[in-house]
Amino acid sequence: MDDKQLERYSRHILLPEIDLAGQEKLLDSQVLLIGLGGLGSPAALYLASSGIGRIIVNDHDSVDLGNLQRQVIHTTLDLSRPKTESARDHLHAINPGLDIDVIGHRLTATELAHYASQVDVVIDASDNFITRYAINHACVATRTPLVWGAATRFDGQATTFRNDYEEAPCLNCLYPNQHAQDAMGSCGDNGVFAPVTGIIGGIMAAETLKLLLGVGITLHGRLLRIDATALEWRQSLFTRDPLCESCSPPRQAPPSRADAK
Amino acid sequence: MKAKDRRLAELRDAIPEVSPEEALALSHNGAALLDVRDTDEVAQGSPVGAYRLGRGFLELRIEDMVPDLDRTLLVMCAGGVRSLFAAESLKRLGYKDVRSVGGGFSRWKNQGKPFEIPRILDAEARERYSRHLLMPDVGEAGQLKLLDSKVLLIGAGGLGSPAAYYLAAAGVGTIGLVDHDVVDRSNLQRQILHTDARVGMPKVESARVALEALNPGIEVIGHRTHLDSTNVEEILSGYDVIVDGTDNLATRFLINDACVKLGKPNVHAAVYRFEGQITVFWPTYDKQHGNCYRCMFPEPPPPEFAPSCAEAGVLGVMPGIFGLLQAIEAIKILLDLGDPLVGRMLHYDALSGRFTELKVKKNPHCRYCSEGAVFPGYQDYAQVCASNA
Repeated sequence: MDDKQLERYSRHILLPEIDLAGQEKLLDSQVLLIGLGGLGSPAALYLASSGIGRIIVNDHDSVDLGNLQRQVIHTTLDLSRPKTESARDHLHAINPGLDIDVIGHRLTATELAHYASQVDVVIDASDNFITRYAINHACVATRTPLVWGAATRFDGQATTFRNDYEEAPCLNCLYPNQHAQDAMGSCGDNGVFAPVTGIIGGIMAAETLKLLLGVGITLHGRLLRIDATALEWRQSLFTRDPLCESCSPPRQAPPSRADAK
Repeated sequence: MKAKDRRLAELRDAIPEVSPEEALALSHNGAALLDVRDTDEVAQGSPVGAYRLGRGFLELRIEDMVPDLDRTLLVMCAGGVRSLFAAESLKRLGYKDVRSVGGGFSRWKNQGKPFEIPRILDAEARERYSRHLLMPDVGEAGQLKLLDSKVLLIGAGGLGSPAAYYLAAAGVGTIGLVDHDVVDRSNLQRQILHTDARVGMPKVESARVALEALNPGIEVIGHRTHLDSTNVEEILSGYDVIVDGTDNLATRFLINDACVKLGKPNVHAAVYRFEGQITVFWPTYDKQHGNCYRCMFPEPPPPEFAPSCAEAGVLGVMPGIFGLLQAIEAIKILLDLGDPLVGRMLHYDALSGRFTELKVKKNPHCRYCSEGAVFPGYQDYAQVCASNA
């Protein structure tokens, strides 16, 4: 780290749990962030400010006016630009030293697995269950930890799927019925309270940082839910479904991440 | 005879019609007057006190406005035709007594019945805030209220950054920021309002650039000053909600005392390393007994017991999470929605990933906020901390 970096990350380096070695680790880390909307905006901003060395951002949408009620990574000047470009510009503005790679199309299953195998953590900030199951599948197959969140109206939820563990539950263990989940509707249908997406994105960034630093206890097997009207948080535990279509039978040995870097 | 005329004749038989005179009397006795015209028609005038719900979303949203199926509905359009179709649909939905106002709004207006030009969102605002308008708890009335609201953020740093971003995104009309500092590179690890190119710029200026880019429709007021006992009331008195994002004890006492005196809700948060806490100090909250900061800490500690003011480490996203929680609480207070964190302190430890809640009690003998207390005046709020050595 040079002097400017030491200054930039001084508040991290002061923490014994991070220190110089931890910050170096973050700078050497790579994450894939899918979705640059309500959840992805704050997650991306905090991952960039924290100094994650390489962030691959993926979204196939462009910025529209209805996004700006909560998607704070974009601005009014970015209207109709691809969200990936708008996000990259903002992330570089707050931390010019990072590698921000953009993918502006919907990833195929093969591409998802390819990118998941390259990174240390995948962050699912998408807004529909078809995408969520596809991401889950790729992360189970490549044994990549997956940080997950969702928000609608005043409710939000987040968890972490430790696909790097032997017996970790996956998204399909938690929410096995795709059709039922799609019937829940999205924030496009039901609306969403602007800062609820923000807080869930923030929790997702915190989970990602813990995974990358190897500190603390992640939300493995725990679903954290917020009801913003009461501002109450509830935690529910969940375990692996031995008959899960996605993560059973037992997973294979993890591929070597060192090769991908 | 055209199909539409045949259909209208059937509806006239099925739906009772009332005159504007009768409708006004019925609405005074508890009936709901429902204006089903389009937004641009309503903008020209609508009966005072009417529910306004265009035919497009009528069936989907009427229950949010009028949950009681037994309540009489008086449906009004421009001339008394569209209201017949709407009335029939409402009857099918289960409303038992639905009537159409004959002659519609034009007859209502001609007969001198009371109407108003409602304040409504323009087309651009309607699109920008569409995700709020979809929520019955916010809706157009709530969004207009937010646009009329004023929130003061004290500190444009770690907590103030996300709080300001989300208040601006949500459409809080006036956002004040108090900060004396300039942007430093060491801020950028967590203070997402600021950018590398703005290092050295006053934080309130940098914040204004970021917030106006996100939402040019709001007003951002920068107060580039230190709060002290001579300016605190003048600055705070112009705002509806105060968000305390300071990093030092002296200012927290000052903000508390001024908020108690002025009766302002004070959304308070603090972060340290991997944890943080948030509560709402609001002794004059009308739904329950709120406490103030001095109920918990009656006096600033003497310097030898005060925490060090030396810079402490903090995980970058911690002030992010707590600034966001402050934004949630500020907006809830503005909209009088849900239960604010009055009398409760929420704590989050990022390392364990757990939120816990503590009850906070009002001190019945608090010198500042107990019943009948006479404001003791501002103290000398010298920087309360141990030396940095």
